Amino acid sequence: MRIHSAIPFILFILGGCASFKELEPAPPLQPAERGFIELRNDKENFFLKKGNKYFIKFPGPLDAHFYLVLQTSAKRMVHNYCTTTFNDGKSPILPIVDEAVDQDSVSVFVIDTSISFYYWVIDTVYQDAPLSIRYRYVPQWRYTVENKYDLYRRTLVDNSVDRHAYEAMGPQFNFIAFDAATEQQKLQVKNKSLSAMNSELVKLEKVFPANIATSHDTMYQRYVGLGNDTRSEIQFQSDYDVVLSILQKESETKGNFIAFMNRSQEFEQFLNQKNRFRSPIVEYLKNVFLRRLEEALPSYEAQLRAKNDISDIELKPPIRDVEKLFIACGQQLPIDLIHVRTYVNEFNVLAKGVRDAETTYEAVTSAMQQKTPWPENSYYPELISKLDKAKITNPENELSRFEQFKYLKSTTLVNAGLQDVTLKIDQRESQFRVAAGIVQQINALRPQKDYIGIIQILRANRDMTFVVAHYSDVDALLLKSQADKIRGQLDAQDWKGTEDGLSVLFNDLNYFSPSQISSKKFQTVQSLESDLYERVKKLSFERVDAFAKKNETTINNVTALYADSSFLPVYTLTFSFESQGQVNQKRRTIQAYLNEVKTLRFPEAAIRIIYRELTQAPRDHGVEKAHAILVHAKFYKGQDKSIRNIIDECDPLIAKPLIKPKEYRRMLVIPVNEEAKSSNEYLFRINVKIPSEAKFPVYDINIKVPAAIADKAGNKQWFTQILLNKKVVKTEGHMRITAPSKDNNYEAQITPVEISKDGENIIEVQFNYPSFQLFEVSVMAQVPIIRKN
Amino acid sequence: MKKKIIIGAAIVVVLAGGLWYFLTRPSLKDTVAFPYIAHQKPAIDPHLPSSNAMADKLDDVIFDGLFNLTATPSGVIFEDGLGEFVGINNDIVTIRLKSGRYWHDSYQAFVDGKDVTIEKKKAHEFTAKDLAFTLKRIQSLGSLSPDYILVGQALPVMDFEGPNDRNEINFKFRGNRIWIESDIKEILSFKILPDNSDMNALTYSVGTTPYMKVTDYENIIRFFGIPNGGAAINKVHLIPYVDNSTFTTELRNGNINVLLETPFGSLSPILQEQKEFFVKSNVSSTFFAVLFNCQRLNREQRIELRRLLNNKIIVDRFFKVGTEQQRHTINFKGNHDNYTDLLNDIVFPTSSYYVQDTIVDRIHDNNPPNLSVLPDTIRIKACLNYGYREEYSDLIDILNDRTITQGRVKATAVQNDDIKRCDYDALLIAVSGYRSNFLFDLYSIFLREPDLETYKVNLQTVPNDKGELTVNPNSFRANHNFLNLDASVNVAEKQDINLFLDDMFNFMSTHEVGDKQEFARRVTADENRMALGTWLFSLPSMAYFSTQFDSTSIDLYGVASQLSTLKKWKESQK
Repeated sequence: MRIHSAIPFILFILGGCASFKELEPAPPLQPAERGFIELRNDKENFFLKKGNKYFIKFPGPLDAHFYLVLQTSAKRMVHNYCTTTFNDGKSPILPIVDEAVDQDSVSVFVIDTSISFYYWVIDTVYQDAPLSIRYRYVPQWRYTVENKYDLYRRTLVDNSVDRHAYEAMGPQFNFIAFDAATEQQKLQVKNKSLSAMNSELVKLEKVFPANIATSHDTMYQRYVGLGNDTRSEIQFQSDYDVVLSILQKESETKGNFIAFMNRSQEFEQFLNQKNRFRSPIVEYLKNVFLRRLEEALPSYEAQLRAKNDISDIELKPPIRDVEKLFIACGQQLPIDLIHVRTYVNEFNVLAKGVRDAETTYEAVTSAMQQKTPWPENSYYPELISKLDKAKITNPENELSRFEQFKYLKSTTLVNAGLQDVTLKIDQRESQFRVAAGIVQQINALRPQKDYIGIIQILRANRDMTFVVAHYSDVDALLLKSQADKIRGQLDAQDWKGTEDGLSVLFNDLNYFSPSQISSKKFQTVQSLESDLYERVKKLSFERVDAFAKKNETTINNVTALYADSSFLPVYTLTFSFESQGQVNQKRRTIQAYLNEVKTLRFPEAAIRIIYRELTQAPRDHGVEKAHAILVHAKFYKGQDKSIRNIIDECDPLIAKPLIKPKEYRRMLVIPVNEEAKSSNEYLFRINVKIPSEAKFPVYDINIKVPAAIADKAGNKQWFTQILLNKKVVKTEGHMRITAPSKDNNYEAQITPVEISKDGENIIEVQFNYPSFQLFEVSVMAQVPIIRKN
Repeated sequence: MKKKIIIGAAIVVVLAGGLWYFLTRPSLKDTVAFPYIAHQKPAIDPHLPSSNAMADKLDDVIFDGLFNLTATPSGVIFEDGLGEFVGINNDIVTIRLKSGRYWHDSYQAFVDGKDVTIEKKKAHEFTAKDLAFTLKRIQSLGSLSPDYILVGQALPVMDFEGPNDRNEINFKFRGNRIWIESDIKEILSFKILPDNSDMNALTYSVGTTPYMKVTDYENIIRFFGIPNGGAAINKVHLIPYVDNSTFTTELRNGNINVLLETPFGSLSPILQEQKEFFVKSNVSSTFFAVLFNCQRLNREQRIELRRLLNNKIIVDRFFKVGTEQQRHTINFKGNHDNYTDLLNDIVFPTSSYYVQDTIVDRIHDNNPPNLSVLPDTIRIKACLNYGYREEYSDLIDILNDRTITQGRVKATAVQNDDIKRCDYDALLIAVSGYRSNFLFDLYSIFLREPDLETYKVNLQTVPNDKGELTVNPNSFRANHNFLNLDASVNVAEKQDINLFLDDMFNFMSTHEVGDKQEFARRVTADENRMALGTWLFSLPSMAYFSTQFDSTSIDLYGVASQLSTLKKWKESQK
C-alpha cells in the first residue's frame, strides 16, 4: 500500500529533474583572444551517450566584435545549437546563427560582451561517442582577413582592366575602329565584382579596433595594402567608363543635333574636368563637339521657317545651351547664331505685345458685350484707357532689319497682327467715345426717371447696339413708371384717373421696342385693371356690407334705405383693355353682389333681427317693426323658408298655415292701415291645411283673442267680419262663433269649419281697435267629435 | 124629496164606488210602472239601436258605462259609472276602474208571485276583462253600432293597456284634438257587458246598475233594486197592454204611474187637468213616413206621389189643428202647438242635429202633383200591431181622405205578412227611437228587413283593396228592405241605388264629423232625387208622471234617455 502511494511522488520527482546535462570543462573556459584551445574534462574528452542531452556554458567575450569558433568532429554526429539563454531546453531559446553552417567540423558564432554566457546545446546524440572539441575567442576582422585575404587578392587581379587603349587614345587613335560599347561592357562587369569586394573591405573596416591603425599587426598591414590597390583600380575604371560613355553618346547622336544637344550638359562637364582625363582625349572631343555645333544654325533657321503664328518662338535646343558648349569648347557664339537669338527675342516681345493688345481688345469687347446695365459715366472712358494701354508704340520695322528673317511667315504674321489690332483698337476707341457721350446724356436724364427722353436718345442711336444693350430694361422701367403712376391713382381711389391712365398706357407706343414690351405691358394693364376692378368691387362690397350692417335694425323709413347709394358701385367701370363686354361683365358682377345684399342678405338679416326684437318685446314699437319687416320683404327676393315664414307672420294679408291639429299657433296681428287713426283696422288670416283621414274634414277653430280686444268690444261683436274663403261666416245654421270672454279664457271658437282637403282654407278675421299697436293671437284647430248630445 | 133621495143615493153609490176603487186599485208604491205593447217585448242591446224605443231607454236602467250620460236640471252631464277619470297626458287617457261594482248575476232573486226577494250570491265583480269584451263586441258590430262611431273617433285601436295595481287602464286617444274631460267621458260612455255574455245575444239583461231584471210576472217586465244599490225606488215594472190606445186611461186609473210616450205625442185632455200628473217633454224620437216601394213605383211616380202627400195638410189634420179636438203639444223647449216644427221634408227629421244645425237643407217640393203619372190607386199599407195604433189609424183615415190625396190613395191596415212581402205601393211606418244627434240611424229606415216583428238590418260589407270595409251592393235586395230596393232589379236606377247605398254606408260608418255632415247632405240629395219616400212628421215626445213622484227628482233633457236618471227618482213626500 505504501509502495503504491509513493509511485506518483517518485514520478513527479523524476519528471522534475533536469533532462540536459551540463558538461563542465576542466580547465574552465577562457574568453580571451587566443588560438584554439582543447575543451577537456580533466584531460579527457567528454563522452556523449545516445539519447542523452547536454550543454556547455561559454562565457561572453572580453571585447566587442568577437567570434566563438568551435572546431569538432562531432558537428554532424549530434544535433547542436548555440543560444544566449537556456533553461533545460525550455522556451525561450534564442539560437545564434552558425556563420560556418556549411562546414562539417567548424561552427562560428557571433558573440558579444553584453551576454554573460552562451550555451552550446546538444539536444540529440545519434550514437554514443566521445566529444572532441576545440574552442577559440577571435576578433571578427581577424578571423575574416585570415580566412579571405587570398581570395580578395585573386579577385583584384581578375577584375583589373587593361589600360592600353585608354593610354593610347589621342589624335592618332583610331576611334572609328574602337568598340567603346564592348569595352565599356567588360569594364562594368569587372567593376561590379571589384566594387563588391571593396564594399566588404569597407565593411570590415568598421569592426577594426580603435587603435589598430597605430599597431603593427601584420594582418592589418596586409589588409591596408589590399585596400589601396583595390581603390586605385576602381578609380581608373570610373574615368575610363566616363570616356567610353562620352564617346558613345556623341557617336549615338550623329545626324541629330537636338539629341546631341540634349547631352550637351554632360559634354560640357566632361570638357570642364581637364585634369581627370588625359589631355589628348579631351582635345579630341572638343574638336568633335565643335564640328557638331556647326549644325546649330541650320537647325534654327529651319525652325524659324516653320513658324506660322505669332506665338513665342522657343528654339530647340535652347540657344544658350549651344553657347555654353561653345564656351566649354573654348569658343564664342558665332555671329549668325547671335542674330538668330536677337531676332527671336525681339519677335517674342513684339508678338507678346500684339497678343496682349488682342487680349485687351477682346476683354474690352467682351466687357462691352456684357451689356452692363446703366453704366456709369466712367464706364467707357475706362475702357478707352485700357485700349490705350494695349496699344504698341513704335514697333515698326524692328524685325525688318533682320534681312535673313524679313520674309519669314512669322515676321509677316506678327506685323499683320500688329496692324490689325492697332486698327481694331482705334475703331473701338472711337465707338467708345460716342458711347461715352450717350451714357453721359442718359445718366443726366436718369435721376428724373425721364425714360421717354432716354428712349428718344436710344432711338437716335439705335445703331449703337452695344450702347442700347445697356438699357434693355428701359421699356420696362418706363412701363413701371407709368404703372406706378396709375397705381398711385388707384391708391388714391381716383378711379377715373386710373381708368384714363390705363387707357393711355394700353395705347402707348412710345417704347424703344413696343413689340417686345407689349406682352409685359399687356400683363401690366391686365393686372392694374384687375386691381381696379377688385378695389372697386371690394370697396363697393365693404360699403354695402357696412351699410347693411349699420341699418339692419333700422325700423323707420326703411324704404329710403333701399334707395341708398350704397347699393350702387363706388364707381361705374367703363374701361377694359379686352372689350366692352368685359366691362359689362365686371359691372354685372359687382352689381350682382350689391343686388344680392339688397335683395337677399340685407333684408334677410334685417328681417331676422327685427323679428327677433319684435318677438322679444312686441310692445316696443311692435307695429313699426312689423311694418319694417314688410318693407324689407318687398325687396327680399330670397327663398329662405324661415325668412318667408317671418314675412308671412308679419304680413296680415298672408294666411298663416295651420298644419297641426290641437297645437296653438301664435300669430302677430298688426294694423292694416299704415298710419294710426281713431279706429285702426286689423286682420289676420289662417290657412287650415291639416292632414286628415276624413274625406270632408271639419275643424273647430279656436282663437285666443287678446283680452283687450275682447274687453274693448264690450257688448259689441269683437270682430267686424270673419271670412272663410272670402265668404262671410255668420252664426247661423250649424256654424257657431263663440265669443271670447273671461269665462272661456278669451278663446273664441268657430265651428264647424269645413275645409277642402286639397285646396286653400283661408279664414280671415277682421276687427277694429282704437289703438295702433301689435297684438298676438293664438289659433288652434282640432277636429270636432261626434257627440251624443 | 124623492129627487133629493135619488141624488143622495147616487152620491153614496159614487162615493162607495170611489171608495171601492181606491181600496182595490193596484198599489204602485215604491214602483215605477210604465206601459209597453205586450207583443213587443223590448229586446235590450246596449250597443245596437232598436226599433222599439222602450228597449233603448232600458239600456240606461240596466247597464252602466265607464261614464253615464245623465240629465240634470242644468243639462246633460257625464257621471262616473264603472270608471273614474284620472287624467290625460299626451293623449294617453287614464281611467281607474271602479272596484266593488258587481254584475247582476251576483244576486239571486227569489220570486214568490208578485213578491221578490233579492239576495247576494257569489260575487261577480266588474273587471277590465268585461271592458275588453265590450270593446271587442263594439268593434265587431262596426257601423251598425253608434258606439262604434263614438269610440272609433277617439280610439284608433279599440283596446287599452292595464290595469295596473291601482286598477288603472290607459287608452291611447287620437292626437287630432285636445281631449277635455267631458269629451273623454262621452267617448267612454258606452254600456258595458260582462265578458261571459254571448257576443250575439238577442237581448242582454245582466248589467251593473241598481236595477236588476227579475222574472216576469204576468208579462210584467220587472226590475228590482239590488241590495244597497242606491235606487230610491225599488221596483220598475213594464206593464203590458195590447196597444197604446188606453195608456192615458191606465195612467189616469193609476195602473201605471209613468207614461213615457203619449198618444199623438200630444197633451192628453184626460190628464191635462188632473193635478195628479205632471208632464215633461223631450226631443222627438219617432217620426212617421211613407216609404215607397221602388219595385212598384218608378221614380217619376214616386216624385209625384211625394208631391201628393202634403205633410203640412196631413199634420194639421193629424193634430186636428183649428178644431175643438185639436191635439195640443208642447216640446222640450216649452213651445206649444208648434206643429210646423214637426214637419219633416227630408229623411233627417227636423228635430235632428242635421236639420237643426242646417247641415242639410230642408227640401220641400211645392209643385202640385202630376196625377197623370200615378197609378189610379196607390196602395199605402200600415201595420197597426207594433205600436202607434192610434196614430196609424188616424193617418190611414187621413190618407184615404180624397180631399187630401185626391182619391188616388188607398190606405189600409194590414198584417205584418204583407209588409214582409213588400206587398204595398207604399208603406206608412212609424220610425221610433231615432236619435236627433249625430248618430241618426239610416240603417233602421233603409236596410231594415221589412218585418215589424223583428229587427234586422241587412248590411253586408266587404273589404276593398286597402282593407277598408265597403258596403256590398247586395245589402239592397228585393223584398228585404222597406223600399224594395235592389240594384240588380231596378236596373234603371242601379247607379243611383248603389250611390245611395255607398253614401248611406259612408254616413253611418264614418267617425269624422265632416264626413258625417257631407254624407248626410249626399244621402239627402240622393234620397230626394230618387224620391224614396215622404217624411211626414215627427211625434212630439212627452211623458206624463204621476205626482206620486217628486217632479224635481226627474230630469229629462234633450237627448238624454228618459230613464237615465231612474235611480234618482223619488216619490214625493205627500
